[in-house]
Amino acid sequence: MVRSHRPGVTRPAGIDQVIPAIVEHDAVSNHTFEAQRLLRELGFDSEVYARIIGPGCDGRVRPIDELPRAFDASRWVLYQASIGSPAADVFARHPGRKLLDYHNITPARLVERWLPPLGDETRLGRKQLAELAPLVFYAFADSGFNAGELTEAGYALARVVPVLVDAGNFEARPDGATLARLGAAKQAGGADWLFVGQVAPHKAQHDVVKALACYRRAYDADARLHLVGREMGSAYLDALRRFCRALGLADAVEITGSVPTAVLAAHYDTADVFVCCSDHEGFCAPIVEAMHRRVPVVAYATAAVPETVGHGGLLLPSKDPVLVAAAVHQLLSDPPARATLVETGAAQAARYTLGNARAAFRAAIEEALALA
Amino acid sequence: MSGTADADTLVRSAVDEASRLRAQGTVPPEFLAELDHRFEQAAERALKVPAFAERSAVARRIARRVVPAPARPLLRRAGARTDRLLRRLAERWFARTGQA
Repeated sequence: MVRSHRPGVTRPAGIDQVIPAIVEHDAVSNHTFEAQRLLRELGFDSEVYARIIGPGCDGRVRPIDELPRAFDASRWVLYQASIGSPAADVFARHPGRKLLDYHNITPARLVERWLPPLGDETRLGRKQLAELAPLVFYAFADSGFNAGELTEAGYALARVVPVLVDAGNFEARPDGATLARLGAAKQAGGADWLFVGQVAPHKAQHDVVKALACYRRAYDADARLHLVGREMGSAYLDALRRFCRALGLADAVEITGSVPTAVLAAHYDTADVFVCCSDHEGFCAPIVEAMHRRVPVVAYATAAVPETVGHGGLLLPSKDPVLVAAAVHQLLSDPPARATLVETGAAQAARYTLGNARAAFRAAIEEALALA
Repeated sequence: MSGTADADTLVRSAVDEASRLRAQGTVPPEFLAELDHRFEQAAERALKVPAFAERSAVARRIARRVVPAPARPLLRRAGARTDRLLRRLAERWFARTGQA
């Protein structure tokens, strides 16, 4: 049980969470559910309130309108911040003590060309983040990079608490049919590149395609790329498909959309390399999953990516497509170096176990209680 | 950039290798310029296609005011379907008019 360390401070009976939107197969949503489980294990009453409740989450989440508004010193509230939302205003008006968990907000400049409303929401999110700073007494973030942004936004205290990732997802058995399909293609020759993440402009899948085009031209005309993840708006996906067709790569680039966990596992298990050219990542859980499943990582070193990759992958100073292609070639043509990198990657991924993340979350709650 | 000697060595080798590919003309500047041009062309075409539901801030603001929260996911899905339909129709139009 968590105890408040200061005499006279009442330990709250409940810590509720507020989140703008909660959906299935989403890292922040999964984190929120895991946080709820942990808070309950710690002896707190804990409910999740969301403004948008996606399919499959009914019954586990309450509409934000039901968040109690009367002052109750025994209830704290924790806001999961990742986008601009009226939910932040509801959180700000709540009379209880406030905590904030920051998962990063994509800079508007990276998305507004494709999705102007999303650009508005991300800009609003950063404004709200700064406005909430004086109201929040304890904040944490899922990477040092994100904690740095909290400090810049005016938060006096910003601890790092890793994402509460369910390691069970990383251990999924690969789907047999997908393994067979991908294995058959591999037997015909050609390396398999993989990137996992929302098909979104700031994930820059088009830059991975450019690098693949260079790689095929210089080294391996049969190389393939698998892009796994749901779309964020149809325009970028449409542009990506057109781009692949224009380069004659429609057959070489597979865009799967959202897939079941077992199918994703099959993609990891048949990939030769995981290539990330994202312009912005607040953490990038797929990199951890790739390292865990012993896929070597080549990534553009930006935002939180260097912190997530650590020593477990190749971090490139730019995403010049020729450099990315050359890095993949260096890696795949040097089996001992590849094996070493896979080992260091697996060791890096092991730091992100659910157990470690839960321990960090628990320590953060204990510290918050001590500071209250 | 990387933290281990092996990773550092590989990155340095990759930088050298990239320079070699450029110097030898294996990946000439015209090829790279063509990649950039092709993506920009694809982006312009994709953004030309109507995507009212996902790109209209006005539609969103109105929907937020008049549609009750429980019905919004349904509306969002309907909007996405409408966009896909509009996109398909636009594709046909572009094909017919030789703009595809």
